[in-house]
Amino acid sequence: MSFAFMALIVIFVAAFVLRIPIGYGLISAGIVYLLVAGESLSSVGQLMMGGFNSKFVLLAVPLFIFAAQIMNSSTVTERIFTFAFGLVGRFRGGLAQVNVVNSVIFSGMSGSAVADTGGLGVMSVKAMTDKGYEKGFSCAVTAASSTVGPIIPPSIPMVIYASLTGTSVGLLFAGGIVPGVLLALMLMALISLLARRRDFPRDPWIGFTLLLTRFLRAGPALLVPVILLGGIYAGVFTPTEAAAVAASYALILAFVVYRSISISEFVSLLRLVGKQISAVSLMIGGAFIINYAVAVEGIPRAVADALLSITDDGLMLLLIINLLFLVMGMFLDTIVLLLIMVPITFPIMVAAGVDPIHFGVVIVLNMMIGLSTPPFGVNLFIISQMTKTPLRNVIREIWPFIGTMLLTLVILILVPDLVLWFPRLIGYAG
Amino acid sequence: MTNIPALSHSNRRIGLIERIEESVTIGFFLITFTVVLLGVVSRYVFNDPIVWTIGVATASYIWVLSVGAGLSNRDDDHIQFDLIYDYFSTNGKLWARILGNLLIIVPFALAIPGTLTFLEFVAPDRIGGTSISFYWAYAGMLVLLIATILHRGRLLWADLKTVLSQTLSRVA
Repeated sequence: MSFAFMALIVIFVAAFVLRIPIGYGLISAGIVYLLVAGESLSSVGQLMMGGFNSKFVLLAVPLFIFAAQIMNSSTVTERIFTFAFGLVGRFRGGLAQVNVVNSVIFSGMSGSAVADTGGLGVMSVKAMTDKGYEKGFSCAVTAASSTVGPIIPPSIPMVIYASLTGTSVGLLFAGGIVPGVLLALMLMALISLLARRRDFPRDPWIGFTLLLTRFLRAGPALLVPVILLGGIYAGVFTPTEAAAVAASYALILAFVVYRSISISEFVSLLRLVGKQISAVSLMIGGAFIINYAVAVEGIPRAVADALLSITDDGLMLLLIINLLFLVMGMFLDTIVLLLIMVPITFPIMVAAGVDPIHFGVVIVLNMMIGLSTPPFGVNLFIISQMTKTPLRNVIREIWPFIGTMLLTLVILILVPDLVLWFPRLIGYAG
Repeated sequence: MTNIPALSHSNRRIGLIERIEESVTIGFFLITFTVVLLGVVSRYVFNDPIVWTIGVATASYIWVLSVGAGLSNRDDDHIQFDLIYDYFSTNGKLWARILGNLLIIVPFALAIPGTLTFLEFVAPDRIGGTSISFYWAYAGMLVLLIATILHRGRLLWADLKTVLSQTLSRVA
């Protein structure tokens, strides 16, 4: 490791200690690396701007953020909630089950766990606490269920993974469908178990007529994933174009069909979207410089040699790397982890014969678990802040959910066919 | 979010700059969105693919992130890790912010000449299908560097004033 790379690490660590915005921290660390390595600082612009210019798929990130925010600001979330409530509210612990079903439906539109927690999640927690559920438990269910969001397509982390590895976004999206449904079913099974043990309430069955009414009320919103995925798999749109189509469809729903958003609300939404996009994109831009340094220093080769000296078995390596991601995910932001660690670990996985789609889906699930894992689980912070629930109450209740998510992760690592079944169905040869 | 020192919002010029930042970010985002959509509509509805949509959408996205980053500075909305910072005393936080802002300002300032060289280098090239020079497509990078220095400089100045007043009151 060169002196320049050590300087990079020092700045990177300092960014965390001194609470420097992570995007700026990555760029500063990259600039210091280039400076100490004696390279021209014209590379800063070249690496960042060139990075964005060569990865058109990254344009899907701002557009998915936009689509998710429109959904959250209109009555779409409320319509999904009432439909999901009609569907599973009659079971014991029904509102907790509704929370998971909400996330499954919303995940087909947004691709962001944080958007799910901040939108539908807050609504679910309020409904649950009104019915007598403990607030900490309600928040824990919400944080855990929102991890389904980026597993079921569309998925912002999968788009970033694809841009880093050259993997097909469409195939990654296809690979996320079965794991996302499996995770949701596992969480629902856990809730069912807890509901019996803790005697959670159940609501009366609303009847088929009312369920049908609610389905029709939510119908236009439920069409979003159909348009989006149908468009991608029929070869009509690229994932980036699909994101733009999803956002425009959401706009039509909000302004024309549901008439649930005013112009001034839309301007505020655009302002929020602008900030969210720039915060995420700044990290992506910074990571382009860091990844250049990582490649120049031969870090992937060194890590590969170190890991291969332990074992050359693909499954064992996949388990080791997942363990590494889980530990790092407790402390690092998901996007940072994705941007820095995937370029380092991906070549090892491919060399060891691990399928890139399998690795991508498993790693995205792994990082989503990190969103709900103390001490730095962003979902925990968001839901505790937005519902004014002490963080310790949420953390106390989250452990069974983390256990269930880990079990799902292990199943998916051990049975790659669960991930690869759907991509193969649409023609993937892997 | 941890509180940052209260800044004077009475300065009209700063208010104007902030409004410009906001409008430019929103404007470029709407261009990105519209241009991507235009590409789809043109290809599938009018059966007439447009070659410049990808280049223009990417360039406007670069401007969204470059200018929008300033908005997050103002509202303290950037993604940051505050687990260790929260354990610092009030004075420790003050010095952490000073050091942190210096760690941003100095490297960003050093990168400005190199970025100008890079922009001059790409200036002769045009976005495919347009007469827009890559100089303008990528000039957002320069805006990002300068705007970040100014935004973080304001925060640094506020913290330095606090240190100065603490020192003066100790001397008095």
